[in-house]
Amino acid sequence: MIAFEWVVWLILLFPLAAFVIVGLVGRRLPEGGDHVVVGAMAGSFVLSLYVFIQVLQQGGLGGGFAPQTIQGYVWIPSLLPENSIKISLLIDNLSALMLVLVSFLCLLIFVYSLGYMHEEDGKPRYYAEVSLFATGMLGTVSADNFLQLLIFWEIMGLCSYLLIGFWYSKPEAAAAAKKAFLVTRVGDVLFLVGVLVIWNVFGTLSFGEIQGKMASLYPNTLTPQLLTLIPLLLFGGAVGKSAQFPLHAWLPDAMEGPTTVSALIHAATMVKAGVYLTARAFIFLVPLSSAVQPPFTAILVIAGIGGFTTLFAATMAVVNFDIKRVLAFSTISQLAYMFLGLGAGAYIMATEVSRGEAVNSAGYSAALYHLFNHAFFKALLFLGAGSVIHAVATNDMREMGGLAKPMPVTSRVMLFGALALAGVIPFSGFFSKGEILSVTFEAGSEQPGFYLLYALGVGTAFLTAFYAFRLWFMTFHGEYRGHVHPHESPPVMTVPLMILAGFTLVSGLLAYPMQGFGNLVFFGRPEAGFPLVGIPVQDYLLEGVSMGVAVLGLALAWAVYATKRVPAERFTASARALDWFDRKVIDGIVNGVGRAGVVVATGTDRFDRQVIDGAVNAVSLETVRTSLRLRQRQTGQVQSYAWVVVLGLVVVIALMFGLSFLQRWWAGLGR
Amino acid sequence: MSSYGVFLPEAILVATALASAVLGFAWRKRPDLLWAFAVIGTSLAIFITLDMMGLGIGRALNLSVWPSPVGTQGNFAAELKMKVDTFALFFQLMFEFVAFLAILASRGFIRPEEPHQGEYYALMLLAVVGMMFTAAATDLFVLFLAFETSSLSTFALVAFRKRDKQATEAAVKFFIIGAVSSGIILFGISLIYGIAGTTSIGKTTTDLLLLRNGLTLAGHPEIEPPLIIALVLLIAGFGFKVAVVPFHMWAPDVYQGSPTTISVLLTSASKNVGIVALFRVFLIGLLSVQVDWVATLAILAIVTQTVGNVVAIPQRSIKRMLAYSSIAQAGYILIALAVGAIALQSSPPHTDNAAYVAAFGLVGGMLHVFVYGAMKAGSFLVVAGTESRGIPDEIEAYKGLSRRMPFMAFSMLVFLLSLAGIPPLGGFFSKFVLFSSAVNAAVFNPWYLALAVSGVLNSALSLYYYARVIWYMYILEPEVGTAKEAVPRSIEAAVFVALAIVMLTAILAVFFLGYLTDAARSFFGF
Repeated sequence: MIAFEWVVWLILLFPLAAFVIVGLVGRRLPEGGDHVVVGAMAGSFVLSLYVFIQVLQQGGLGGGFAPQTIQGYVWIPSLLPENSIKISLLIDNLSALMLVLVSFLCLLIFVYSLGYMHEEDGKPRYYAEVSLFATGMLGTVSADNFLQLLIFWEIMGLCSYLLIGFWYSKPEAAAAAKKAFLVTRVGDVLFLVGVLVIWNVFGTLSFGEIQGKMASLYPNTLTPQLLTLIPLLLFGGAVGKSAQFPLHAWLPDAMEGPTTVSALIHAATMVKAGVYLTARAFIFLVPLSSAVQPPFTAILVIAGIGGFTTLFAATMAVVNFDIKRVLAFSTISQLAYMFLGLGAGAYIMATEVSRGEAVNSAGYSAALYHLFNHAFFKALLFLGAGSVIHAVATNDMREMGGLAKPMPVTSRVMLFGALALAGVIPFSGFFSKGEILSVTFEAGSEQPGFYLLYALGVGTAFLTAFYAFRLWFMTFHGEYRGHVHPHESPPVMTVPLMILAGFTLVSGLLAYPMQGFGNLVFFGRPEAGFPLVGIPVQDYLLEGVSMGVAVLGLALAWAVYATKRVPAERFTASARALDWFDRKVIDGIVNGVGRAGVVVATGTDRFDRQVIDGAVNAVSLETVRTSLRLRQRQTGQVQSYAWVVVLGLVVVIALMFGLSFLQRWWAGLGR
Repeated sequence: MSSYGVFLPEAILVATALASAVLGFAWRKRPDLLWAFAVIGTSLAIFITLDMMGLGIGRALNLSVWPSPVGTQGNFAAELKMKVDTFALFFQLMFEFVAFLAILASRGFIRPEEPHQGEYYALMLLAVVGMMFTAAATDLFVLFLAFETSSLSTFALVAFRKRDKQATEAAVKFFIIGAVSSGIILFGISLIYGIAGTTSIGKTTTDLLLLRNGLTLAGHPEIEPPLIIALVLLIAGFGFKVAVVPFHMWAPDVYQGSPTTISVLLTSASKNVGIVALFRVFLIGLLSVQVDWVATLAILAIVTQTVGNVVAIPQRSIKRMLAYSSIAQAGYILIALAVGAIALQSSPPHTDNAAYVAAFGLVGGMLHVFVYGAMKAGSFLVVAGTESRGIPDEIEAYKGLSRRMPFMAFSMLVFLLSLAGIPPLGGFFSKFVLFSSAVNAAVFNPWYLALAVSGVLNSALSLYYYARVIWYMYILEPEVGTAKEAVPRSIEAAVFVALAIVMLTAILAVFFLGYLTDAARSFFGF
């Protein structure tokens, strides 16, 4: 297995090496070193695919693959060897799948960048940063412990900041970058606190070891309160990274970055890290031991935030005219679906565990299935939007229209993306979104609140279809309203688009040969003793409902934007009110908190300046004074130095005698 | 490789030294050839040492250097021995490496027309040979002889520019205080010999233990008073080399006065000779009586850190500031000595926590010695580089250095931040291991926490004066124009090597942590 271990390490090392090379000598390479980056990513993808196939072959279906820790080295040694923190990678079903997904999308988007970024200055910077980002994302999904995950997570945060502000001379871009960095920081702090709490409770940060220690530590060391707190803190990190309410404000602004960055980081990969983290937090949410009472409160919070955000963000998407902002709000909404699915799934699993029944991980796999599908169709939509923007040099959909003729490929692949987003059979979104909704409905029989969340989810499905086709019709249908002469993008951009469009069809059907997606992202460990099943909920009525609302939304969009039979204002008025609510009230609250923070900060600043600094200054003044006095001892005369040596000898001898006397006296006392 | 083969690097260095002394006459007009010769000799020695480290050679060798000149009756047999174990090899590599940096930079620093270049390289190499033998010595007399070899060579090196008044003054000071210290060491050694009846470092510890227990049980007068005086004399004698407060007064004058390449050798290598001697003598030879010295050494460590950092603050000369900072750094390394003393509490299978903590502390000490060597040598080399362009040795003169010499300024920035212990540089990593070993040692005696606290607080304090230099280099505008100035290639190369080590240690340390742990464990005999 030596070869296998090296392969896993190489997946990370390829993009890292590309980052180092392009970062150091990119300016001297032709085209800013883009081929180095693409080549490294291709290598990474091939190796990821190899690992994925190995995992499937060795384990087969049904989670037969025992999670394998690729031992690295001890990073922070500790007195107790088991407490030391190791850098090592974890390969299990979930991480193997994520590695393939991430490296494949990175590869496609890097290829697309060859065309899209062709005329940009600062290409070496761009390519170095995206390579570092790829390293961060691959590291995040293959980390074996929470600390390592946090480190790579922060690397991604840094790259996101740098890339949003890629056009740093534009004030909006710089402000958006700062906003993204600061808002996600709130979540990161919660995540960090969560990691510290985990360390304090478990004495380890490795996923596997935590799961193993769970039953023995409960309920004395790991009190029920702590078990609720830990997943919530981790979820706090996820809320920041995945732009969930109330930390969602940064993602629409992040669209100031290049569209490739929006596609890669702010749609397909980085924002999914929050979902991934929450999926990893399932070891806390669903402790596979009937002795441990699962933290139902934490689960409800996750599902609730997911359910609320999904509708909330969808309404925002309905009223925006900036094509990228529509997609950004749509991303928030779709991510919220995943959290809803995770929450509902966790609720069902937790009740089954506490009853000692067989555990059905359908919700878990449905959410990750949606993650998988969404990565493809949202990357496609963003890249398609990029292609459009490339052609018409504006983001505003009011200045587009009728682009289907000059841009046949783009318009067709975008149609695929919109169908997948809307959830129309047989496109991928239909399967995973339907499954999430079915699981949510099923959870309603355990906890009636889920019926409300299901209603929110169905409403969102309607809005999703509406805004997806609003976007498509406004862009590609009707008369061209812009000024620039549009043209189709070069093949280096359209080929990745076509590949992605193919995947919107394939990725949904992929679950069938796998007998359910759950077999790919198996949760739990066979040795846990619980029979685990991953049977998707199959309720044709529910599926029919979600399909039906999607078609309704599509039809409404057709009526409003294609045939113009219905005036748009009537339907967008209510959404506009919500938009106003978001801008005035939510941003107002955020700003109010910010202002309150400023007031508090002014107070602490004054305290800091006058009390702390005063003390520090007094200390430093005294230190400087002492040091000046000490310097005067340094006369430069060798005689005086010799004297000091002799004096020092006497002092040290006295000291040693004194200490030895003290020790003996102390020992005497002890007796 | 015959058993003497473990001294191959030393042999090469001696040969290079002697040859360059002779060739100095022949190549009086071609100092560059002389320089190349010394560089090649040193590189060869480094290469062989590295090879031996990789093979783990010499771990078992316990070599009699020459037949005992003293009687061999009973307990009083004197075996003049050396042991080239993994621990010694690590320090030897360190010494060779610093010498390599100093020699590499010499071509740009020593003007071609300066006289006595043959002697310059010869003395430098001989000093290194003395240092390397010190690291390998397992007998107090051998240790003393090796120690003196390195000292005498460095005395002469400081006075190498004999028309330079400041340098000559520094050399005289160095020599007088050094001579006093040699006397003090010798006195300490003779007292130990008188008490324990042996000069073998491995034996003294058991002998002292037996002797003390025997005497105490029998109600004899205790051996404590002479033992304590001997301990203090040894601390003072070796502490002079390390510049432990209060035996540090000479150091700033000498570091400032010497030619800067020699300052590199003195601060980074010569100082560590004292450290390795302290490790050997106290952690092996005097381990059994650690109860007498640990507290004192711990207090000296804290005092040394604090005095070094406090006095560094008002300095106006860069070299003096660096000298005081190196005093403070030595204080950090002394923590390893105090933590290493825990080894006494470990019992034979040596898998217990005491063995772990002691080894961990020593690993921290070794790591810090290594990183400290690189960053201090690097910062003095930067000074050598700026001096070579006529920039005076004043912090004021570094105004806007980032514009005039971007690479030098950047390197200085990295070295200073690393000295202050900012992650992810090497200095952070080694300090982290060092301080956390003190935290771990608190399991045995809560007072050890004081060492860690003092280390952290002192690191914070030190940032004050490091940051000031950075402020001068990067924030302030240069007074003499922003034209770029070239630094001699050889100095740049040496700075680059040091820079690479400081920047990569934190990442690459994992690869030799295993080696260091092995070395520390074999050092203690675990």
